[in-house]
Amino acid sequence: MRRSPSTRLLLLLCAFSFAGCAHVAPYERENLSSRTMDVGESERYENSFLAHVHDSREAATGGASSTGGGCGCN
Amino acid sequence: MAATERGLVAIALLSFVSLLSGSSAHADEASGTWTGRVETRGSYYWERSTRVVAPTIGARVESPRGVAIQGYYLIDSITSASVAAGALVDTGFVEIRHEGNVTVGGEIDVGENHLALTGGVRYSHEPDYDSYSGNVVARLAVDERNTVFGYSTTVLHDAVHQVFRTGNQIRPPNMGMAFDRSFNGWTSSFYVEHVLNRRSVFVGGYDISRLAGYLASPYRQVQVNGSLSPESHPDLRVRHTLWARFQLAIPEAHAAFHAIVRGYADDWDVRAMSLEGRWYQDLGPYLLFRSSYRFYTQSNSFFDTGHLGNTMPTYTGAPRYFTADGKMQRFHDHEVGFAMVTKLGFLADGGLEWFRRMEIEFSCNYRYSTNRFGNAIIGALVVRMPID
Repeated sequence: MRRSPSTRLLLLLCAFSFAGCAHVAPYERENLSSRTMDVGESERYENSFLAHVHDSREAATGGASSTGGGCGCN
Repeated sequence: MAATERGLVAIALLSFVSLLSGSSAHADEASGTWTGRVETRGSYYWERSTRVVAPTIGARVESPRGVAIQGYYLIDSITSASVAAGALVDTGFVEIRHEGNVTVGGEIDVGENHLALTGGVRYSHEPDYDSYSGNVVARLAVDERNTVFGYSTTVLHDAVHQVFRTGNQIRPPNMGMAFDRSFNGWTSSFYVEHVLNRRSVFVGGYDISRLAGYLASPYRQVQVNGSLSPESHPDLRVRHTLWARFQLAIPEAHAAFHAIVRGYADDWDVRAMSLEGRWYQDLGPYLLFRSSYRFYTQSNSFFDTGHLGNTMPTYTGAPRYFTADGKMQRFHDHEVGFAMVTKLGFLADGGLEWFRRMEIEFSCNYRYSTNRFGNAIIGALVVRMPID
């Protein structure tokens, strides 16, 4: 089966990511809880606005909690 | 929205609120205080034919028992001369859009695991468009939160109207009678978030959505065999998105790198891919800097002529579908951006305690695009204030 470049990239990223898997205890997550890593909450509204902008100017959607509806710029 | 869909959303929300109000337990229970924050945001979007100013206020509060309530309200002030937005002549007009959202959620313990449930509703109104949606999200954290399985589903109903705003404000004869059209849709998302090691996290997911109904613009027109016709799109669209995010902490440099990749395909034959890299640099206790680059490319839909530029597309023969939508053409984007987040904790003591807890963010993105919309600037100024 012929895979698209994006599918190949995703598979490659997954393979690299899971290669170094290890159980990390809560007390070992200092680096993961730094403000350079834990950005989900602080970027919530910005990501929502950017997803809306991209939805209104690009055919693709998804991957950012956007649904492809919601304004007359569809 | 169909009565059954409205009922499902209402039932889901009521169920979650009932569930969460009974059995949540969080660290804040000990102090008995509500925590959270308020965020005000001014977003700006500029491109050749459209300007958008979108002030937003959002808040999130968490009760001592762990129930989180959040919501936002935004106003889009859209200044446009775009025909796709209802301008009859090359004269600007201003349109106001209101949007509000409320979500309620919390977490319960399931043995040694943790199940977070959230439900929300959103409404958007502008003179020629109304959108209603509701969504539910479930997240199951296992293995001391090393792995999280997530699922969300959203249902929406959009009602499309037509308002002509400039010129003589009279409906062009070829646009037919005034109409009231709509479409329904749903999106389901599955994802896995996994802590790989002390420095890195991986998140990957799949979204599928289905839209059915009127999926064209009521304003855009196309030349078909020499005469103007409103564009015609298929009334069904199924969309698939595969995405992943990899985050790597680099503590030696007080920095982190985030890579985001997304592949997209739909049954209108559009194929797209986006790649994004973000660098977060911690510059001390009061300053955080972010730079980013995003590349996006897509193919055209099966009913695009392949010649959609600044001129009106022309179709001949007996085409079933025809479009003047710039999103249906083949193009690519490059987007670069930066953001600076400043905490005001450096301010001196003495009457400034309120300001010292504040956080201010400024961000700006520039997008180079080969589509008919042209290049764009996206900016934002944000003020965040904690509540406790």
